[in-house]
Amino acid sequence: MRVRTIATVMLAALLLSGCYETTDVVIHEPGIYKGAKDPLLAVDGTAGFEEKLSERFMEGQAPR
Amino acid sequence: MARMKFLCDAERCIECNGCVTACKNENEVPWGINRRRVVTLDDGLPGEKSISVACMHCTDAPCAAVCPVDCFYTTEDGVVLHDKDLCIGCGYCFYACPFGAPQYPQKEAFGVRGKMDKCTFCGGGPEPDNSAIEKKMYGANRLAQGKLPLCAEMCATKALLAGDGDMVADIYRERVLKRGGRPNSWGWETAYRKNV
Repeated sequence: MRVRTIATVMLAALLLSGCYETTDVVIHEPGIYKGAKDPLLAVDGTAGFEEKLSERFMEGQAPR
Repeated sequence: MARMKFLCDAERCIECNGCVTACKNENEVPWGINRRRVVTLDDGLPGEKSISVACMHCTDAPCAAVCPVDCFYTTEDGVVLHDKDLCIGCGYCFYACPFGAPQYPQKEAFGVRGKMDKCTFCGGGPEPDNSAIEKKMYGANRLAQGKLPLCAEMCATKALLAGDGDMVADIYRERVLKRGGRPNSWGWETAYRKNV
């Protein structure tokens, strides 16, 4: 009987541990972006990237 | 440093909606949502003009200024993007935007708005570039592939231009000089201010 009770309690504890919910929240500060960092920002503005986009613009949108 | 801008030449736009279709197809925008739309002024009257409108990626963007959770960020090239994980769908940006760009795709119970959706200048979002999750949440990331927005690249009459603002302005200036008349860079003063 005691073994069964202990086993039930342990099983309940195990099942309830699956109900854990993360409580981390993003604390707001006015005017500051706190989202994920966009990988595009690492290349954006570099000389190679700008050149590629300029070439693309001249290929597709410049008057022919 | 380039400053990405859109410009729609109203003298050239033939209201074909090719830009709208290209945008919807490339970004797999759901039904009922248009990141870009063609607006006709004085429809049916002599001298009617059409312009293609989407997020203009404003300098000092009003959407970012009013966002209560600061989900907007701006790239070095001036492209205004946002994080849907932070967006609470409050709708403030819709009221602040002079171009009516923000859209709310999800319709939930009691009129709750879903995450805001808007033109990304085909620059995706903060998820890993060209990943499946980025494609699903924000659409294509053509900028990371070295390409420009498809709406402008697909424009049959080259009415819609998208790229470095200086290059766009040079092309438009040349056109105006050639055809005469007054320049009408619709939305530029509102979006980029006079001296930007």
